[in-house]
Amino acid sequence: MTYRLQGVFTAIADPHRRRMLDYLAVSDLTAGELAERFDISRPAVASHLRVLEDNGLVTITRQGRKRVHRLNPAPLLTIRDWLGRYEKFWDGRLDVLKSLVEGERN
Amino acid sequence: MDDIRRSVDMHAPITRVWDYLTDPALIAQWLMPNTFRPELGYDFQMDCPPGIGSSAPIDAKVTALEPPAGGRARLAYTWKIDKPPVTTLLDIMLTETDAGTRLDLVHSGWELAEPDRYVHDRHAHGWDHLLFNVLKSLLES
Repeated sequence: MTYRLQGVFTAIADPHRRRMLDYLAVSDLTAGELAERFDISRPAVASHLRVLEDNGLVTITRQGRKRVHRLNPAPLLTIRDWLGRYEKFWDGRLDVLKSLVEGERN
Repeated sequence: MDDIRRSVDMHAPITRVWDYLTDPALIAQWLMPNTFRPELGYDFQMDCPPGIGSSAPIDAKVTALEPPAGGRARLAYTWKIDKPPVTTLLDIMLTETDAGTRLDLVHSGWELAEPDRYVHDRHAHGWDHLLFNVLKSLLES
C-alpha cells in the first residue's frame, strides 16, 4: 500500500492528532478512551481519528464489542522516502558543482 | 526530522566556488534556473526539477550573505516547498583548505506545518519518540 505524502503530512500537522498518535504509540485505545484524554468534544475526536484512519496512520480492529484504534507507523516512511529524494538530489547537484569549479581553471 | 548534511572538498579557490553560489547564470549550471541576486533579504525563485516534491517554482529568500573573508564564506536562503507545505533552510558554508575549498551544506527545517504550536505542547517529547524512535526501529528492522 502506498500513502499520499500530502495527506500524511496534513494528518500529522495537527497537534491533537499528533497527541492521539502519541497515546496510540503506547497502547491501543477505543475512541472513548482517547476522548477521555482530550478537552475537545467526542465528535471532534472522532473526526480527527477519521483523518488519521483515512491516511493509514490508524487502523481499527474489533476486540469483542470494542472497536480499538491501533497506530500504524508505516505511512511515516513516505516522509522518509521523500527526504531521501532530496538527499539524492543534493548528491547529484554537488557532484556537478565540484566538476564545474574544478574544471577549466582560470 | 533530521537535517540533510553534505560536505565536499573542492580543488578550487574559495572565490571561484563563491561565484558559483551567487551568480545566477553560474547557479543555473549546477542547481536550477533562478532569479537569485546576492542581496541580503532578497526574494527570488528557483525552478524546481520534477521528482523532488515541488511542482511550482520554489520561493526563496536570502537570509545570510557573507562573501569570502578570512578564509570563510557563508550563504543561506529559505527554500519553500509547496507539496507538502514546508519552509526549509539551505545553509552553505565555505572554508579555505590547503587543497582548495571545503563546502558544508545543511538543508534543515523539515518539520511540520505548525511547529510553533507544538513546541509549547507538553507532549512534544512523545512526538519526538514517535517520529524518531518508532520510525528508526522500522527503518532498521
